[in-house]
Amino acid sequence: MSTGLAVLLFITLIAFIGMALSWLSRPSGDNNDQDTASTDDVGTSSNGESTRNIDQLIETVNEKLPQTQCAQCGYPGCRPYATAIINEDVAINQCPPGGDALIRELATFLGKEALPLNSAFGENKPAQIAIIDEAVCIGCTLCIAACPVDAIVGASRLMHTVISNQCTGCELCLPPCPVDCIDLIEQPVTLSRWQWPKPA
Amino acid sequence: MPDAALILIGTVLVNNFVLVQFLGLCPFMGVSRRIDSALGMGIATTFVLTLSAALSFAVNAWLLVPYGLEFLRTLSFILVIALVVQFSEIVIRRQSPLLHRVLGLYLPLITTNCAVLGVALLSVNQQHNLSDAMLHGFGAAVGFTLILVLFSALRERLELADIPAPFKGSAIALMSAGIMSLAFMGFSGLDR
Amino acid sequence: MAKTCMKTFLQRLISSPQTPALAGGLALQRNKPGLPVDGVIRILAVPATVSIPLTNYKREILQPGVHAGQHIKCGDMLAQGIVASCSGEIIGIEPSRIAHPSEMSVPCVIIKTSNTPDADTAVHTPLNSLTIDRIERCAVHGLGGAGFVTADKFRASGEIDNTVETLIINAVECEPVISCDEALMMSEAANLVEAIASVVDMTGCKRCILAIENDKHQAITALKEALQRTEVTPLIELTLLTPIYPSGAERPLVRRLTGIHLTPGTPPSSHGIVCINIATAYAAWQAKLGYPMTSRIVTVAGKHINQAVNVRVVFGTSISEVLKQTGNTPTHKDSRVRVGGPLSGFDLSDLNVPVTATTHCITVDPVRKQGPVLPCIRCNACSEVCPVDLLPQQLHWFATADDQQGSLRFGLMDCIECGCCDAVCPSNIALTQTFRYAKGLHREVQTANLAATESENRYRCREQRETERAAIREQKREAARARLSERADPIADALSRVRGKRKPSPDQPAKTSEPSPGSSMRVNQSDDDENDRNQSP
Repeated sequence: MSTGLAVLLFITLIAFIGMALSWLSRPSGDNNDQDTASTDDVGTSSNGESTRNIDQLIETVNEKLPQTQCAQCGYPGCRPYATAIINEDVAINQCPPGGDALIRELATFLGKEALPLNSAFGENKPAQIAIIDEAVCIGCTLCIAACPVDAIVGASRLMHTVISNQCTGCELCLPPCPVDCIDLIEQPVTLSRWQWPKPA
Repeated sequence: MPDAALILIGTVLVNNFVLVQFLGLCPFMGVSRRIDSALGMGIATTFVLTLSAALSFAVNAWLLVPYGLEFLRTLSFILVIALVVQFSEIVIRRQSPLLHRVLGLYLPLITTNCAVLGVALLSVNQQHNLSDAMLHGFGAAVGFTLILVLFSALRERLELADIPAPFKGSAIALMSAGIMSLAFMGFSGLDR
Repeated sequence: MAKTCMKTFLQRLISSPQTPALAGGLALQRNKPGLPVDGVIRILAVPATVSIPLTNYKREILQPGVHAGQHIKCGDMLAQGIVASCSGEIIGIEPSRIAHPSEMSVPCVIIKTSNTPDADTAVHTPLNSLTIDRIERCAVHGLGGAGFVTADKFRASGEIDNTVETLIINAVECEPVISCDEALMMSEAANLVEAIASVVDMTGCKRCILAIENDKHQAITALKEALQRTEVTPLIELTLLTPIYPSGAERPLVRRLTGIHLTPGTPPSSHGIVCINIATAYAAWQAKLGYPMTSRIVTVAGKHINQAVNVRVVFGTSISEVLKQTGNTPTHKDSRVRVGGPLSGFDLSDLNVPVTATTHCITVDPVRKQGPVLPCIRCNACSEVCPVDLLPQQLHWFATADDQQGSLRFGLMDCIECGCCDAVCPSNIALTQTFRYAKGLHREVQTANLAATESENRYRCREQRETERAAIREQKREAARARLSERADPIADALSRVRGKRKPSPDQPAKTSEPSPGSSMRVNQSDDDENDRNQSP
């Protein structure tokens, strides 16, 4: 009899603690924070506040990414990759333009290990910009439509040209060009961009 | 109470749970790469340990012993610890999603942390009363946090140092932990 | 090495309590060759051609306001903030190497000089009191080694709260071998005091500190005499400092004299302090009298030199010309020519580079055989000598691992690149260059971050635009579909409409052709744009 009572008491205790926990993890009704800039819904998270915090996390990771929007990581842009890193725990070594410096920064921020760049996603090339050979350009506007940052100016049947200081070197304009008039050149080192080399 | 001071010094320094009694080595090696994540883990463990020490004592003294259910001790202690860990995980996920993400799997692993269970069982062995049991748990957690923070600071510097290839990673970490353990064994006899 | 450490320790013991000792630094042996014994500084003859680089303090390339073939006079503006140092004809504007560690070429204005002695001709009218505009028109730049635009220094202070509280005249010249400022003080002490007075009057400062090392005895005597004789500005406080390198660096000097610790990126003007070199003050005074800044005193010294000397050189003279005229053309095979002092200078391989405002010293020494670079032994000697209280050892670990956050946390941007840590390191590690590299990396990352933010903005705008366009297109399609679906039989409707319009007439041929399906849409289109019009036949 007493054993049964004890077991019953034990189960009641567990049940109470369980109910307390589920009450604690109820979705929070108050949205007293200021407007969030989140456009992506992280799904129907049971906790409204943590969604906002996750958005902040995604924003922080996005700010560290190089914003070339080149899709080499396998995601259509830098923000989708940042979202995947936070939500789906995707590897942080898939961004070739970011290189090892980016991997190190993400590793420090997320507490993960800094793996070397996954070469299956591309090589880390030095800063490059696209340049259009104006003698060959036919003015088809296909590259203008392809550029994710609007760095090419031009109009139909008029000369196209790349705005050098806006070009991120993402290479997305090269495939659409029907006459193959776009080249990638390394950004020239000028006196103002010269820095001391690392000692051996 | 002089007893309280003795219990604290005993658990933090002399009989440090990680370096002297070698309990709780899993989170010690796993979360100690960076100081802030180590500190977060330490605080979470402090919370869990103190609360679970008190609850375990309550369960033991008012449920198990009066009804002769000592054989259920390990099971019920683990249950209590699991509940407290789940509670603290919810709190952390709300307060700091980043810390929650950084700690990852190690937070629920506190449930199976032998240090937490060890504290509860040792309290029973040493026949503490409620306040002593809580102090014991708190001291153990403070010792754990201290070691975790010290070791993570050490590991941050080890990462930058020029270590021979065979020793990189866990090898040098374990060796450093061994040397720290030697240092902490120098505290023995302090509580006499 | 041990002797230097002992000497540093003793210097700190006996340093005066009014001017707190520098934390760190090295007490080096006094080594100031080439001082004028008779107080006369030789003026080098103007060479046949001078080459003026078209770059500014920020290393930007400037657009010239002159062209080849133009005749110009001394003091004429060649580009923003750059004046011609002599009269003559511009024979070309072409890329030419400059005295810079990168050994890069920048566009330079090459002037074939005329033989008129224009150093004595005032280009502008003398003023009664100095103004910032006159300093700017005479292109006065800092002559202490950094070459900052002096007018901007004074303007910045004025903008913040309209006053300069403290004016510091930097006559410290702490680095060994460099003695150009000391030579100037020995030869023109009276004029220098007047120069300082005119700058004090211009700024209206409450306090003026003339800081100098206490082992420059002749210069101190000359200055003290000059200060006593003139009744101008009793404000000038002559402050003697214990000779520890690098007391003359701006930030440690400001801290030592005023106790204000400047965070990296904060100029002294934000605290109402302006610190200029004494030679710059002299140039500002010359500007008041109407002379543009066209020359500077350069120390020529070294072990492979015939005779060390301080000479006044016109800007644009090539270094090989300076060495030739002073009789010091390097003849040894294993000489290295260095611009700047032994600790803070850089080596040159090409001697055909022009002297500019930042060329304060040219040394020719035997090539130093550096020992091999060994691993860091964590001896902490570098931390003991750092004058800005940094931990070069920790910075070395972080910078070598390319850990920017760690380097910044340990004060990388506070580093003044003095070279003290290099000098004491027993493992011959190139610490200063590592820190310069790390700083450069940080600047690159910051520039890249700005560019990335800009790219992201453009990307967002583009995405928004494309989504809006797609939404408008979709709206129109929906509207058109809705219109089509309203009619039960659009073809019969169209036929009846056409028949209804047409009055039966024997002359007119009956239109029996069926209207094409697209034309029903065309009749009702009123606000569609070109895209939709192009779709219908």
